[in-house]
Amino acid sequence: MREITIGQYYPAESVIHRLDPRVKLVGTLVYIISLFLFKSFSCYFVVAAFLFTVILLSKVPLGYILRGLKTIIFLLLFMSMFNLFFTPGDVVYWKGGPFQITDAGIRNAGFMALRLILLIIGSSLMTFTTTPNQLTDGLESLLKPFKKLGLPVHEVAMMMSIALRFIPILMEETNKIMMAQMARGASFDEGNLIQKAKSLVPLLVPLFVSAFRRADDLAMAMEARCYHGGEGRTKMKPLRYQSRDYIAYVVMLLYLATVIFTGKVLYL
Amino acid sequence: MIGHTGSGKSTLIQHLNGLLHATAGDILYDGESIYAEGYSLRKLRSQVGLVFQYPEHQLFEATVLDDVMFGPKNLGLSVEEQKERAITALGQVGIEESLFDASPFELSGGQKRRVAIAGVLAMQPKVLILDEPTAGLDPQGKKEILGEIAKLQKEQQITVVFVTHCMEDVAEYADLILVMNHGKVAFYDTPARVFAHKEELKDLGLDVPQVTLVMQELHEIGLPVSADVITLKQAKDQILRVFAANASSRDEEVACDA
Amino acid sequence: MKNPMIQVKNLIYDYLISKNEDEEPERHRAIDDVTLTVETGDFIAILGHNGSGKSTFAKQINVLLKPTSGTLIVGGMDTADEKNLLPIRQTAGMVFQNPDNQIIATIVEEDVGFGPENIGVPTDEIWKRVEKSLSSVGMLHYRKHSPNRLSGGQKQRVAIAGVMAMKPDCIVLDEPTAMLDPAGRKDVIATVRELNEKENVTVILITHYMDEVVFADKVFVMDAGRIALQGTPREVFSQVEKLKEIGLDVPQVTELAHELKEEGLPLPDGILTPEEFREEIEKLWQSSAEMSPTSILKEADLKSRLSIRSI
Repeated sequence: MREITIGQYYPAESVIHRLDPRVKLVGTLVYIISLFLFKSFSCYFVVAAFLFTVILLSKVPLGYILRGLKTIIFLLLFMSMFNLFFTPGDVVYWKGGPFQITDAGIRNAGFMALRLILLIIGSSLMTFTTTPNQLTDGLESLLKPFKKLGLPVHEVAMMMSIALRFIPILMEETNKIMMAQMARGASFDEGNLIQKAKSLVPLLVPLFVSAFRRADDLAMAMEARCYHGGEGRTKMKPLRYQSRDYIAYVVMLLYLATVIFTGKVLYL
Repeated sequence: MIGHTGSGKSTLIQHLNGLLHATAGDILYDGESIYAEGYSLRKLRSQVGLVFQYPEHQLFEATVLDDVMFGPKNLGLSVEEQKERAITALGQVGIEESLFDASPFELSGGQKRRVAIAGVLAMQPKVLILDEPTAGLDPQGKKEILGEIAKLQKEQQITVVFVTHCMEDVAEYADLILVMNHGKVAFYDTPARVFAHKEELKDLGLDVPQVTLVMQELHEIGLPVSADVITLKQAKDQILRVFAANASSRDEEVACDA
Repeated sequence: MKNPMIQVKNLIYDYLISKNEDEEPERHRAIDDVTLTVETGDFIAILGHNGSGKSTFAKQINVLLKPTSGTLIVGGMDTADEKNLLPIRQTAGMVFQNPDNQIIATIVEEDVGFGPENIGVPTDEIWKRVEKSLSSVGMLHYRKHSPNRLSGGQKQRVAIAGVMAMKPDCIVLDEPTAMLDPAGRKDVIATVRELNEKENVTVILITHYMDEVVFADKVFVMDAGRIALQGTPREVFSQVEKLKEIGLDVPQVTELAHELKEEGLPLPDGILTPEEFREEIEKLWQSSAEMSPTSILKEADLKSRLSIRSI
């Protein structure tokens, strides 16, 4: 359970850490769009090269990032299998009942897995290098136009950052409760699906109770420190674009252009 | 069991009922390796009951009685037996019958903790391990819980292992102290002998009971008191004895002079 | 003449428990007619068992709760007045029991900056305050760390820094050491004492650990919502029987001295620390050696001499 690294901040001194959170948010968006725009392997090569460069610059260890993938390995396998066995195609390598393996299937499965891996790594890189507070500030600033429409932008951003802060605490708690119920003879990996679902009750009730208790405590602690929403609030780390941020935007455009070029012009 | 935070106490006790599997080495329960093939961990967990820190945070059933029945239910006992064991266990921790149908979430902090301990006792373990059973309780609640545990140990012949930071509790209740430091056993001996290593304990970030400290100091400055005092009662007896002896020896001198 | 930090007059607080939605909610009195004054710069300890009303009282000071009746004035401001809310919370900061549930940010320095941000302190000033308050609790070295990796005692010190960054006149600590190990407890108490002595911050420490209140200027003992005992630690701890009746302990040496005194040994009341105890016994031992050869246990003359000397 301690292995869960998705959504957590990894403290380090790097260019990527120092970038303005708005740049990183926009960058992540651009990156995700680039992932879904194209369907050729060579494009993904460009994407992967770009991602790898950013990871190197960020000083977040590759092993640490890959550990985050462990948690989605089932999703990954499931989706790849689905694509592998159910995609119709021109060349059929194997057929058995409703299942078949075709050239398109292999291609799709490969794409799907690759895309998902790149997606997870890319977006978790943003949370690894941006503290939830910065993330909140960045989101708040980017969403500012919606404030006029009555959207509680600051509050939504604050909720997000608190949720991220409590992920590891609740994970540890889940682990502890599980151990305690196991000490009372419970088991979480036996029986059929219904029995398994039932065995979750002793886990979920205490977890919810604890989450509410923590929420209550935290709300009180925030109030005690004069929190009263976004109004009249100043920032310890106000967002100001530096020259490196403008350069990052240019790099982003160049990246997008390269991907489009390899995909649409070179037809690779 | 004592030791500063991160000394490995909690990790060690989670090995004792097989929740964690040792990287190397073996654990024998009743002479049998718990890592042997086919050894039933579920049976081990019913014999070696483990009460976690803040156990009241793990209550989940709608009523106190149902919650305590959870352990026996997992052992596959009949409903009557589950109930019988739950009622016995609740009695052992001093929960009144009027509370059996209450929701565990309505109880006071001390009551909740006792219900949670009953939840483990209902499996009728031969060994009871408690990770800081008194954490967060006030002095009154603390005394009650420790008193009940001590009673179980004496009357039901249950072996008790408890983790604590309070040296006064160790002195009062424990036959043996296990001091952990950096994942190793630093001391494993009677309280009096362990507390004699005042300086080494200090280096480990641990204290000795206040009475032990003052008696050691009085011993050092030459008072004829013994240095291995660990409880208040012993200290009181010792001090009274030396003053009485001193007084009577002077009285004797007077008598001789006369 | 300076104004007192906190003035409480006939404070009553009831909370309502409704078990059924149709039933009339039940009134439960948590604070029952409390009157007290806390002087600026004092170190105050409030003792009491769980449910004695001490935490409820702490929350009143920070206006997390408001009195049912009576008045509570913090730094000259009435807590009943809505417009005083933020100024009072800034004047009297609060530190809570659970170190995990009061840290908002994922980096130590950002958490310390949270309070000043809320009260609209300019950016440059926030940085100065964060640095100063982190160094005043000895945690400056950890400013870039994630709170999740700190020990309980360190987290509490960060929480204290978070309050200090709002430049309060007073800090209320609601059982800040209840979830810590002995080393963490010592660190937190040492930090609080230093803030009180060096920065002249008024401290209100709520606890049930007796050894933590030995240094306080004044101790209030709460029981069933009322103040059962008050005075200097020595005065309060002299009343061993009364404290036990309320369900509280006294430091072990205090109890030992009390019991020896009951047996007739002429020791002064309210011995608080092992050092004091050792000194008193040593004195007694020496004088018993010098004394005229009569049992000192019966020596009334010595008794009075000793008690005069020790006060």
